[in-house]
Amino acid sequence: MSHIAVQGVCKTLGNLLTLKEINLEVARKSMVGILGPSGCGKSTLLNIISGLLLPDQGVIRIDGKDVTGQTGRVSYMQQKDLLLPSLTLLDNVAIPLVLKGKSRFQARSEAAGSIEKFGLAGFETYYPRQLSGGMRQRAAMLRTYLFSSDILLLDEPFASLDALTRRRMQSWLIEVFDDLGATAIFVTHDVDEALRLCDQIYVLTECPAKIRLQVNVPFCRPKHQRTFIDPDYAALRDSLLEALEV
Amino acid sequence: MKKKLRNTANHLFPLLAVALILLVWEELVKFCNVPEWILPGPLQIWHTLVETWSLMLVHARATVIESLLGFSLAIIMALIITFVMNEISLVRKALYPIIITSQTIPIVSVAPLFVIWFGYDLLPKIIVVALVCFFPIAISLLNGMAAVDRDYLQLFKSMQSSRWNTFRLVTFPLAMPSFFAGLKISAAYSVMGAVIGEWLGAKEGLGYYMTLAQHSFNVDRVFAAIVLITIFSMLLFVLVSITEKLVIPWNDKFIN
Repeated sequence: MSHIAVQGVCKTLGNLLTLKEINLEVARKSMVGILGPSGCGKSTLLNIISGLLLPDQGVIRIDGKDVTGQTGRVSYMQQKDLLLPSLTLLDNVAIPLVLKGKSRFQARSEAAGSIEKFGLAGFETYYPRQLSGGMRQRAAMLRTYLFSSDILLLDEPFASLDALTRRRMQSWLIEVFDDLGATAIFVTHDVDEALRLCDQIYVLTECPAKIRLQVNVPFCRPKHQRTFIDPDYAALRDSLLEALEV
Repeated sequence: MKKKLRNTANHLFPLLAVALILLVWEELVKFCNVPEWILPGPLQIWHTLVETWSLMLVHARATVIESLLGFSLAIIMALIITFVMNEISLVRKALYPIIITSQTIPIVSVAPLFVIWFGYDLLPKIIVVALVCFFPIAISLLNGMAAVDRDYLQLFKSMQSSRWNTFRLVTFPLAMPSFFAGLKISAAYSVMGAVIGEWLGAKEGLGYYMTLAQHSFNVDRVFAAIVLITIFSMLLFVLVSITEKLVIPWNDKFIN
């Protein structure tokens, strides 16, 4: 059984039909990429999966259970890091634990346990403004992870970073993803990023968004940093670009 | 090094400008033979300040108490009212225009009413100070809360945060920089409010002292009181700035 299933989701925002019959299946502990032109409704889809928005039609199932319109089951990370400037790094990542009713002290010590894995050791007492963009993004991801460690919705998490930092973040994510043991939906408009990170990619069309193409990526999360010269890679990349009409 | 030089210059130039103005003032008064009861020179004011220091301190005590109490009252009122306005949008819609309109009523016109209602004691002055200070604090707090990025609220909603937790962790702390901007404006207003209150009817206080001095054409005493008021206003401003640094050490201004 798939971990997350999106079944026949339609959504009209204002007078605009944004999502039309979206079906997704996400296997446990895999990362699924959603590629699409900007403004095609990718964020709307994530808002629906996270329960912040109700679909007009269709259901969201997690482990087979209908969770349509319920917040709190999955954790959601946006393009902006949304760290609170008023709290230190450690207090920021501990927020989900505090919200779940744990004491400040307990939340801190629990969060401290994952600081190392997210490459943030030594910066616990820094304020977000004192950190680099990549670090802030990793902190936001740690906070997301601490809220719900099994399902992560990542909405263009690296889009605001410069190209080098983004590449480094991708390498870091490749390194830790299997360790985290999470299922992730990764929204992006970067074809190479999707090919590098995701087990499976869905391509959405321009508004109203439909699924145009669904591919499996055999060479996802490579442990090396080299460029692919595999002709299959090039062919897959071309077919994705073609589906995006670019 | 360069920064240090610029800092010195930043402090030096205003001081030089003040010194220059005082010098011109002193010389003009001497040169034109202006009588003391019309315009005394800075030196004369300084002498009066030293001479009447202990007398003025007695009056200053009342003014300081009124300003501080009124200022604190305004802060407490602003915190309570803006909290309710922020949580209940109906209250916000109802009160916002009233708060804005209330500012068009000249405080000098209602202050005498407070004297009629509450007498010549501290209370009417404290009310005047609180009224004058309330507006900048409340508006800056409200604007600060309204300016919080909606994505934060969305994020906290997705994490099933309670309203209270969202307020305590997001809305309130993020509104603090704006709140302190309002506090600084109010700090300066508070002393002025107390003086206006005393001016219109009091038994003590620097405002009362100034009316007495004015009626007997002791213009030098009026100026000496103005100097004292300025010093106290500045002290209050500095106090707010220090508090700001302690309460929100994470603000842009304090982190390079």
